[in-house]
Amino acid sequence: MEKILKFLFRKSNKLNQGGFTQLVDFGDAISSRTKSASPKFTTGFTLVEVLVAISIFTVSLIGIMSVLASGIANTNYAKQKMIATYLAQEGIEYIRNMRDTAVLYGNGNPWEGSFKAQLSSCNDPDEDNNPCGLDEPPFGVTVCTNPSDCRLYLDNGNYSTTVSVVDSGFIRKIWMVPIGAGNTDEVKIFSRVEWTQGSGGYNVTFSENLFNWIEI
Amino acid sequence: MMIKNLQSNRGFVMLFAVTLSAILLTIAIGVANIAFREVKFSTNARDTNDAFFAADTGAEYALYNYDSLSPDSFTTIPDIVGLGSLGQSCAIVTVDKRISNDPDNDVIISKGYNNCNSKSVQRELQVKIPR
Repeated sequence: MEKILKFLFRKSNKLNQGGFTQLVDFGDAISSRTKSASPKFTTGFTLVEVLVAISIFTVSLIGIMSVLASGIANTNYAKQKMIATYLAQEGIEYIRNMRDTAVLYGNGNPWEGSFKAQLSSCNDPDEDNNPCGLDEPPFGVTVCTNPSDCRLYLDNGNYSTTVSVVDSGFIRKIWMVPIGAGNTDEVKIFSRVEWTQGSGGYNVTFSENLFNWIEI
Repeated sequence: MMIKNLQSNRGFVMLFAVTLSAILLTIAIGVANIAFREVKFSTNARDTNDAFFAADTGAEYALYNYDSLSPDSFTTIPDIVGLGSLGQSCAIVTVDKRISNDPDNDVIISKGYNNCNSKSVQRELQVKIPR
């Protein structure tokens, strides 16, 4: 106890006198500790020290590694989400194109007879229980009797509904909800792209209301 | 002499461990930072589309009601709410038919928001219709 007090006193003295430039010499303290500690006590102490050090180091490494792993997984998620966003956007624009083509080039009452008639099979006020997949142009939709029918396939780097060997992992569902009881001139279009990643399922859903506003 | 050597090596394991930890921590924070930004970027892409489709719906609604609005008038259509897949998007639309504003065109301005409450992302569409 006396020795420690002495050491502390000496240290503080040195610090006060020396300021920043003078370093505290720990050499004395270490050698005095080695001298004073009995050989019995020091035996095996290094092993305990090493074990404690290794455990602390391991815990910190595990933390760092888990941050790294989740970071890489998030990057992958962001990539898939971007692709899904563009695919869902394409779904909405495809239906818009169907509407425009029908209304601008159709005869009679093309809004009801052509556009809504094409989408009637995907009419689903509740949820995506009865979704459609998009056909390859010429424009049209086909009901997916089971979700895998709405699957998108990779075709030379492009996403295609034509069945091929390479599955892109994305499923795109399109469905329509009529708005209001009396209002037949408005429909709400939904476009949802689903994918699974890791243990979870994710989706990106867009919707837009289309009106029968074009007058010929 | 022997003790001197040992003493000069003291703390090396500590230095090594701290240095290694610091390097790994830097890499991990760097990766996490990039991942966070990418997730933000992709979320923003989704919000952008929500806002754009809301604006487009607003413009279509204005076009649908275009004929019923009297000539040489300025109309602010009541906010169109409940848009988007979650019903959180909205559109604020004005139809300007005033001749004093533009002698040749009627102007529809539709502002779409991804979220009607926060209004964090906005996309605006302008439609000009020759009289």
